[in-house]
Amino acid sequence: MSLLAACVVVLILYLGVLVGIGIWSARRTSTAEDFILGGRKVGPWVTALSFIAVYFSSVLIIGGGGFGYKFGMATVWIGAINVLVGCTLCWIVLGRRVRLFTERMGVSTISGFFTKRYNSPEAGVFSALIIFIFLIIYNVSVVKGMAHSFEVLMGLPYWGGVLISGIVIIFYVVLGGYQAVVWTGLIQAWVMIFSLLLLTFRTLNVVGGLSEGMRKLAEIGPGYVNTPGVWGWAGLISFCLIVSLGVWGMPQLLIRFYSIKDAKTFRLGTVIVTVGAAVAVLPYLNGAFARILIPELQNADLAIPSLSRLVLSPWGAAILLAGVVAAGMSTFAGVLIIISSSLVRDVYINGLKKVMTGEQEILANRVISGSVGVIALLIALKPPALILVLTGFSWAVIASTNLWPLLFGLYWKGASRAGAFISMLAGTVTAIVWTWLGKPFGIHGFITGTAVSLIVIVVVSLVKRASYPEGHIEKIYGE
Amino acid sequence: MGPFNMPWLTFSAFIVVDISVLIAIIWVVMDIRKHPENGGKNGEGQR
Repeated sequence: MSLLAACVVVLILYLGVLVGIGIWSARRTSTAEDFILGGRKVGPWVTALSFIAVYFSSVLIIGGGGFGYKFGMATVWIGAINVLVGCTLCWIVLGRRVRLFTERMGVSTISGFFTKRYNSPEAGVFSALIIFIFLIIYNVSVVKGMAHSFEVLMGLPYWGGVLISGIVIIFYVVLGGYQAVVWTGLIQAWVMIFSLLLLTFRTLNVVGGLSEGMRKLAEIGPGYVNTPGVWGWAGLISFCLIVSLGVWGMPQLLIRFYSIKDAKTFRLGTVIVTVGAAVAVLPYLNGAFARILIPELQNADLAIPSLSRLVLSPWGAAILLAGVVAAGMSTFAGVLIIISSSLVRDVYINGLKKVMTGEQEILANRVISGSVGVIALLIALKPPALILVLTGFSWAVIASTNLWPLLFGLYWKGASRAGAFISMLAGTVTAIVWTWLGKPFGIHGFITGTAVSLIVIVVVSLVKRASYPEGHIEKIYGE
Repeated sequence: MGPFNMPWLTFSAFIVVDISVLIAIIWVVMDIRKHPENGGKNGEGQR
């Protein structure tokens, strides 16, 4: 069987399942809370695996493989720090507190958290707008990753890949909301994990095993096996921080904590997410070994698709394509829900003080998530720059806005309304301006944005002390 | 040189992944001891 035929069969089956889940979820979605949070009754397996699926988008598989190809084995550190900081510590430090606090405050979005915790509608609206703008950018990069894989593995034109993946996602998100996102995420995570293991197994076979692969790679250049290798410490450390600590401020991941069934399920969830996320090192490893087998690639982003064509059977390559598409779809879908709920609930209902019935809110979420999906697809048809550069930029801005106000809001009663809002503004402006200036001294906008945001929230909260209505903080902290 | 012809510093990345699993398990054990009756402070978050 040809590669094209295998891809068509696997994708039709896979996309059919996703569409089915969308229709099934639509029947279980009767309230706005169901659409946004799945009614806060999602179990540990679904939560943890959909967390992995949303975290490790096609950007990880395609872009991570590209980084491995360009910079060598040192990049496996990115995957390792993803596991430790982005998953294990994130769940331990944020998970349960986010779940408890948001339940006590009765909020269902990260922007809603800022509004209630800091008694600050301006912080909520500002956060929602930043999420809206920069998550669209992020989604564009996700679609780009998926479309590249269609291009290489199936010979489809780029626009064809964009449309096929985009239309299916929009269909199931608009129909099934959050429930469709997490249940498809569960399947997508398994497809992604299996396909990465399959690719790694075959690649190691072809290069003669791990030791032999490392020897061959060292022959090409010692910089490809050493740490920090050809990349250098500054680039490696700052990128590890961006894609690991940055997660702590990413709403499409934090929402998993809001929606988990109960606080107890965090125990099993934390172990599942850590073990499952271990596959995060594999795209980098495969990307590095792709240099041995395909030394003259012009575009590093094509390392994984090209490698899979070389080492996998048509069925294996088709499964990998499904894995890449799965990774991208889950992320894209998760982001659509966040954007629509931020706009409808945080900007329109809470910010502009408009009243909506439950049915109107579901309809508004469906219309907005569908429209935002179409906008992202249209932008992705003529995409700018390298995938990871775009992602790094949007993550930098979102993390600089949300990270410290969230963390301090959970752990420091003294964090004040003025401190949080000014910190958000300062972090956002710094990240954008720093990137616009061309990253002076080679420092990424995420580092400067979050550093400024951290200093500002502490200093301003100490200078302009928190003064909340009586009982406000005690209620949130459960005292 | 570490295992699999890898420099130790590169190989350490894989050790970090193992340590993460260990941290998760230790946290769960400590949490069960701290809150044996349920998973949440004062039993909140239980449905």
